[in-house]
Amino acid sequence: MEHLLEVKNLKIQFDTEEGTVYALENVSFHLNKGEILGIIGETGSGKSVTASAINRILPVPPARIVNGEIIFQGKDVLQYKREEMNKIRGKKISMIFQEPMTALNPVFKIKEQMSDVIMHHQKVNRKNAVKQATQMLEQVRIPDPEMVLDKFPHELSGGMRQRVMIATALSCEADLLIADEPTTALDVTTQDQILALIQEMRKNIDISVILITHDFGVVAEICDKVAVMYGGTVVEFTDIYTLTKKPYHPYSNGLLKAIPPVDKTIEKLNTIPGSVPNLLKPPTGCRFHPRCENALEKCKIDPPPLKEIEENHFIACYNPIKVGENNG
Amino acid sequence: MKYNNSMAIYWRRISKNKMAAIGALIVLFIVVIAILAPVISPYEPDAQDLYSSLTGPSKEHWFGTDIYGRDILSRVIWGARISLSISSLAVFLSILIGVFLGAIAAYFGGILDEIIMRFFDILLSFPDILLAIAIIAILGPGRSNLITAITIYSIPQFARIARSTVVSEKTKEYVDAARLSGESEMNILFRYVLPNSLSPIIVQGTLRIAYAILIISGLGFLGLGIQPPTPEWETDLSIARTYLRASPHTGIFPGIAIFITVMGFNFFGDGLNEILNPRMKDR
Amino acid sequence: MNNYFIKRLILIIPILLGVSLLSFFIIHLIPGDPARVIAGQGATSDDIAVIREEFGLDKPLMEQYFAFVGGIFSGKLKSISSQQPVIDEITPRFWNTVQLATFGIILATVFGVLLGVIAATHKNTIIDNLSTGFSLIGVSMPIFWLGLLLIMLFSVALNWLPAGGKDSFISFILPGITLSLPTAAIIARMTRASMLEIVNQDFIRTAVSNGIPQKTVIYKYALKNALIPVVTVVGLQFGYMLGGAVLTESVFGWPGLGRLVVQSIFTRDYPLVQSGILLIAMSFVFVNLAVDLLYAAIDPRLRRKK
Repeated sequence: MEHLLEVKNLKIQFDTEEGTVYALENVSFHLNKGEILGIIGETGSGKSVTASAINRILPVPPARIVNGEIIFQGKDVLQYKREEMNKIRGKKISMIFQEPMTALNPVFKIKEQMSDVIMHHQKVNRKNAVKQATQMLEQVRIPDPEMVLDKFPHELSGGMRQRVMIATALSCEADLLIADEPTTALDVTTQDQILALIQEMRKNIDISVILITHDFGVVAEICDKVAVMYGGTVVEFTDIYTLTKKPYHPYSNGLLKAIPPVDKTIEKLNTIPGSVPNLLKPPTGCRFHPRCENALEKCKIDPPPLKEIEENHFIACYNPIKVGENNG
Repeated sequence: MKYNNSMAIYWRRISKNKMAAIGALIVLFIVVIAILAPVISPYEPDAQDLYSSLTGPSKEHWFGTDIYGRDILSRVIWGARISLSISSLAVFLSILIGVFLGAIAAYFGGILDEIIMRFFDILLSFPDILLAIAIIAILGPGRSNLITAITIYSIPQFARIARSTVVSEKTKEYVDAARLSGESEMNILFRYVLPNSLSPIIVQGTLRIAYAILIISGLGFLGLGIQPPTPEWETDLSIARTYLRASPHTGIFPGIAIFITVMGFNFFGDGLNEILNPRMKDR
Repeated sequence: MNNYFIKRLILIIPILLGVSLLSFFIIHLIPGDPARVIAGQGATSDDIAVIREEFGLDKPLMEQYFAFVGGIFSGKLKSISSQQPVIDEITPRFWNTVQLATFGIILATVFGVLLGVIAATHKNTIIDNLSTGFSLIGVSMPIFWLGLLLIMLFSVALNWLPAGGKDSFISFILPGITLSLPTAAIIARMTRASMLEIVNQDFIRTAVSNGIPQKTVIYKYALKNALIPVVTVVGLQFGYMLGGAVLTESVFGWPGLGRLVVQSIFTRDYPLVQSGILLIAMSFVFVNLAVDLLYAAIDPRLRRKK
């Protein structure tokens, strides 16, 4: 079975005033049709860069794609020309972003912004496009679509704007939705609603989703598969259950151990000692080695490649933590 | 380590910024010429030689002569001195007065603020050159009145810069901290708060000098500037206008001098702006 | 929105008052006795007394002020040289200035915006550098020098265009270009900066990721946002042109109000000077007001219905 999306050895750098930022070192994962993949990592792990790379909205320059392939529906997206990419964006790959407050154009009504997108991808006139937009707004559970369409973005709340964004992104029935921290800027209740919405979309229109987040709770709630990123590399990639039961990579292990348990009181929070790497001068070899209990000499020299050590369980580590070291 | 890093960034900006460098060179060049005018000027700027009136550029007179036979090159060199001294003095004065007024208006607020800023609003209701013309109309032409005119119309701009800085800084915590440790209000204002406005003021000041040179030249052209026979770039230009057809060189060279000088200051000011307040993703 | 409108209108009143007071005071700020100043050198004390009587200079200042303002509109205030009511003199000249300024601002805006947009969309290419160069040169050039150069080239050397006066539409061309150039430079720069800032905003990213083609993103989504601050600059520059056109008018012998004011200074025709300055300043105030209101009208975010 062919994967819907396969990212292979993606390596991206940024040329900035302060020097070269080694943002992505080696990112590999895949996504099958109908799956929800969560990409989890701390700030600076490279998850947003990865997301933006897939539909090629990274500003190049200052970004530079050094190496890698992004194979979507059989073809390498990195080879596409601008017109081809324009046809894909919105129609095949859609994206929603973290800040709903600034994501919509302040000087145009919602009506116009949404129908512009629809009209670009389908051969319909403005009136029909607006009709479709109305239907989309209903699908994302907006109570009074006509009223919302007639408004300007600043007249809507954050949750509403996020829904409008989702509706716009899905209006052309893309095959892949990339959601870059869609709930981070929202309050918890709205967060739940948006996540439920995404799940419903997956069920209704059979869309596949990549969900970027730093919140493990979000991942646990709706994701089928998880890719854990650290310092610009995917360090562990498997399904959610396996990850929670058998987090082989020391970083994933540390992450999961750091989550305070609901069912008992503890005295001290578990943390991973040290701090995230400076991407201007990243550590040699495996980028996690300065903070890793299991670090070997080898780890300081050569970055470990991503290997499938069990069925559908990939790790980038020379000295993974074996089963036995579990967490709750 | 961190200190080195920010120095390195400034250095990168400066060396990458050709505009500031070129501007600085031009400004330096003109300033040197102005200072050395008595030494490098080939002739006395007032020396008339009616036999050589209106001759074009030649070996004896690189820029040619004007209607009275005066050497244009010498007049241009001395003109630099006068333009620069008037404009920099005027801008300097307006910075002193404007920043002071704007700062106290913002810091102490209330009626003082209202009165001062309303007054500036009224001043700003006149286009700059018109205000200068009005002031010259009142006081008469001449060097010190020119300085007064330029100072007056330049004050509101600096007052605004000072004011906006003070308004945004005065609610910050370090101000409270200084107060608690017994510092006087004036001290706090001038030693701690105001220095934050230094970079926009430097940038504006540079650009304002450029603009002042243009205004001086404009007024001179209208006959409202420095009176002849003092060599003034602009008054010379207005005389030149009458003789344009036959002797264009009388108009071209002073104009070029103004142009290059103003451009130098503008480049420098802009370059400074880039260095001191870099915008995020612009270059 | 209506509240904002009314508030702004009310704020204008003290400013207009201040402006008229300042214009009035011009004659009283001149060192010396105003009557003597108007009479000029070589006037006898009888002459001065007549002038004092005629101009009501012996009356209290407040009364003089009202006489001044009232006299402009009633026609009582007359120009010294022509003995005509000032209002008859300044109004047609003002109209000439407005025409020139309008022509100039249209030229400047069209050219400036186009140049700015092209520079922004071709950042760091030759066109961009040329545009930046143009912007800097445009504001550095003395405007009357530019006018002189244009005259030398197009009138004297090539004999294509008239060197002065206001005879026909062709007369507008050289002064219009001269007047518009510094403003075009400013507008180009402003547009470029504004576009560059907008293009980095999140909503542009959203439009791109939804597949909107690049031309639409630039010319519809970005430009409309970017032009908002540019409109302010255009308006302000227009107001400025009304008063600042004096240099261009002088070079080209354009029968405008600025030139009249300057000439009146030399002939010491103070009623003309005062009323001319007052008119220019007032129109500047109103143009600024219009700009503020326009800004509120364009930006939907300011259209809150409270």
